[in-house]
Amino acid sequence: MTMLELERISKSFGAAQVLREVSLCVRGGEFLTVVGPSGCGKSTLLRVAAGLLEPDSGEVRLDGVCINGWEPSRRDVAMVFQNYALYPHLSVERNLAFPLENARLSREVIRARVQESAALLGLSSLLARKPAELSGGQMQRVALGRAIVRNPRFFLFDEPLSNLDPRLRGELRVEIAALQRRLAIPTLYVTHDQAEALSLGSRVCVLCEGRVEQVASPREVWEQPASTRVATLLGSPSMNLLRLPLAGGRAELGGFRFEGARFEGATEVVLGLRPHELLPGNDLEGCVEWVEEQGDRQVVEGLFGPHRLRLAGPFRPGLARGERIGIGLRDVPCHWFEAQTGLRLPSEPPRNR
Amino acid sequence: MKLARAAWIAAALLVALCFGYPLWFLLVTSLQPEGQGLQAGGLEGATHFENYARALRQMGDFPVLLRNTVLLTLLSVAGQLFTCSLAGYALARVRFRGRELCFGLVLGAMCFPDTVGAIARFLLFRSLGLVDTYAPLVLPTVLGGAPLFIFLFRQYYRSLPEELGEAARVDGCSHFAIWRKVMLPLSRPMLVTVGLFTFLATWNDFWAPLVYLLSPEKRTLSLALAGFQRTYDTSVECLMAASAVVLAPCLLVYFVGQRLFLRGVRVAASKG
Repeated sequence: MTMLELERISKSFGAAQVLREVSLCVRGGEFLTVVGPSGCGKSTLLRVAAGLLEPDSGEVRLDGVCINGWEPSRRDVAMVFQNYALYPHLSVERNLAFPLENARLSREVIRARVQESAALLGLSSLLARKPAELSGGQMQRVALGRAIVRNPRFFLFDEPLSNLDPRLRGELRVEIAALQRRLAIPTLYVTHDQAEALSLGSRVCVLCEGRVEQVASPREVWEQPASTRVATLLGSPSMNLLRLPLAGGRAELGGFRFEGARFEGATEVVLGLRPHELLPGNDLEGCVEWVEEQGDRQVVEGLFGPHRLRLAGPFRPGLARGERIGIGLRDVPCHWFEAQTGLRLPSEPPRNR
Repeated sequence: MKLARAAWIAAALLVALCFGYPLWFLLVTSLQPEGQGLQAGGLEGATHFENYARALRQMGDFPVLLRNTVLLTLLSVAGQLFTCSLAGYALARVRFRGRELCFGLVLGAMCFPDTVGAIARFLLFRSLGLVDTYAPLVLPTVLGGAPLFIFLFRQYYRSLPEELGEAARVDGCSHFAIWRKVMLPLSRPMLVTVGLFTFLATWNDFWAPLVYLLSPEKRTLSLALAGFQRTYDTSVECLMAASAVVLAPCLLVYFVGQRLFLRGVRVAASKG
């Protein structure tokens, strides 16, 4: 089983440091998604893994062997790009055959492998076409075919679905997941779409400003975000962050008192509440500032005392600006973060008040 | 609206006349009887097709002249396309130390008129013992003597998505293979444009052959044309007939390549 390791990778372009000591490990057959806001360095990370860019420091290892300085072809990697990067002057068949021709395989082997990959992706009827004659979904399928045809040691995906419309994106997402599971080739998949990252990844890496914020299972990243940056990146609308002052080691919100050993020594903490977990109730009263209808639910922004909160859920139909609204806080999952660093405070066993 | 269209057509006709009349004048004069001199452009008396045979005889060994010119032109076009596109690719997509400096030098070279370096170049080729060979005519173009074309290719390659080259690298291509297998096939409009410009420039070049070619058997068509102009007895109708013959391939190549050429110019204009 192949294992791809990135250790303490740093990379700058001029004065801009894009990656800061990023360490990651993709184990055999694993699907690791890297998610982050645009400009966080995720594409650079992928190009370093591919060998298209050399890191300023740090090591890329494949099965324990340092492969810094190796050309991409020697690394035996396949990459799928956001804009497909198909060769416009070649037919679908020649596009698929291109990496094999460069590897100087025999004509029969090339033909057999191209047929096989084309059949796997439902491209057999399109082999004679030029990329310009394909739809976006078909083009990305050809790009996938060009990646799997070589049977590489690992896969790299650079936002492969971003240029497709939402419905197609959902379809191809399922297809990519099934394909990867079937081929069991370790995969590094970069995206800015949190839904993609959570649904595809067996593990998710959250990258912010060139630093790894958290690497964990999708569930863990969602339920126990390691920092406010992770917490706000995942989820739409994003998590509410409330700054609460501590008085005598206690924070207060809507008649609820929070205290615990984790607050020790701090004067202020940040409380994170997911919008869709704040349901109608009587614990906290506020005034509706803005309502967005989304069909099955409403997204509401309201002012609750000093706090501005976003809520998402089925509220009373016809809810309008200026109306009073109440939410319940009992049993709402609370995420606690340090005020200065934004790092998650350790969880504590619940205690009776 | 209609008026604007009419004005536009009138302007186009006027321009066409400006370019078409000299051609017409050339053809008509070439068919005049001997000693008629320049004609304003009437058709009467323009029946002397034997002028063409006479002109070809007077030019010297026409097949040799034609062969020399074609050879020179083909070498220059092929060399120009090869080096300019290769250099353009390197300046656009290969990361190496000093690339921007190189590009700056290429841009700087665009500012120098060819004649500035003419004497130095002549001295150089003389010291290399290459006078009276085709080397001084071909080498400068083959070695990338056209910074403008390098610049055009660079801009064109910059306009292609960078991922294309990255994909080819991942698929096992060296930089040279990326250029040959991906970039070159995609730059057809540029190849046609630069090829046409180089063809016209080399075919019509008079100055460099005049300076460097001494032996009669190495002469080119444009040199032979100049041989018609003498102090006392320039045979105008023969000069015009010979000119028409020399001009014909240019017109042919131009019209054949015109559609591609215009596309190339548009590309160059929008990317430049």
